[in-house]
Amino acid sequence: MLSAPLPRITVKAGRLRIAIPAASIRQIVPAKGIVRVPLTRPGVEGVVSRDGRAIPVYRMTSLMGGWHEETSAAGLTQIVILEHEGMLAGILVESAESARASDPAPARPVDGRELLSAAGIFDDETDGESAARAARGE
Amino acid sequence: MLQVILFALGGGIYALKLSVVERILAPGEPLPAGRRLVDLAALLEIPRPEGGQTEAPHLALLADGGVALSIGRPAGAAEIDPAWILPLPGYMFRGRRAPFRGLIDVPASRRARLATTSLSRPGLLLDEESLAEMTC
Repeated sequence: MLSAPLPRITVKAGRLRIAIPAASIRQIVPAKGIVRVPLTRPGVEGVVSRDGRAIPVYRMTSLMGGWHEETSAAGLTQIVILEHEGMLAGILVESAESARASDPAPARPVDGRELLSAAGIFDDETDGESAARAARGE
Repeated sequence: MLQVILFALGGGIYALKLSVVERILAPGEPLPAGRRLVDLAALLEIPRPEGGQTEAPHLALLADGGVALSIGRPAGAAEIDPAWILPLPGYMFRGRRAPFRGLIDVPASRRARLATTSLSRPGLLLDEESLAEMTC
C-alpha cells in the first residue's frame, strides 16, 4: 500500500528552492524586527522575538552549504521558523508556498532536521538559558 | 524589577545592569588610575561606521575588575521586568560563551510606561561576567 507523501512547503531564496516538510515548520512570519547580534556564526542574520522566545534567523544559503547565489536582503521578506524537539531557528526566504505534485520543476526536498543541524543546533549545549536565568535572579 | 543603563552602539541598543556600573564618564573625562580601557565595539567585533569619524564614546566604569568599558552613546536607563529578558540560544554563536544575558523585549503594552524610548525596539543585555572573562 502506498502512503501519501508528507505535505511540504516550497521556499525560495535566489535560485535556491527547497521543499521542507510542513510538519517541521512552526510559523511563517514577515521578516521584520530582526535584531543583529555580534559574535554569531556565519549566516546568522540576527534574532527575532516570537511568543516569548528569541529565535535566531539564518540566511538560507548558509544552511545549504553556502555555495548558492546570494539574494539581496531586500528580497527576503519572510521568515520560516523551523522547530525540532523544542529547538527553533528561522530562515530568511523570498517566498513560501505549498509544494504541488504537478510542479514541473520540483524543489529539492530537505529534511527539517537537516536544516536545523546546519544551523548548529545539535552541536553543543546552549548556555543562553542559564545566562538569562541568572539575569532574572533564578 | 531590574535597573539597566542603555547605550547605542553600532546601530544597536545594548544594556548593562545598573548594579555593575560604578560611574559613567563623559567623553574627555580622564580615566581613573588603575582602570583598563576596553573598547566594547572592538570586543564585540562591531564594524566601525563608514567614513571613519565617530563621536567620542562615553566610558562605563564597571564595579568589579578595574575595567573602563567604552560604550558609545548613553541612551537612558530603564527598569525592566526580568521576564522580558529572552535567552539567546548558545548554538547561534561562534564561541562557547557569548557575553549576552539575553534580548530585552519589552511588551508593547508596557513600552509607554518606560522612562526611555530606547527600548521601543529590542536591545541586548550584556553579561558583565563574560565580558570580564573576555577582557582578561
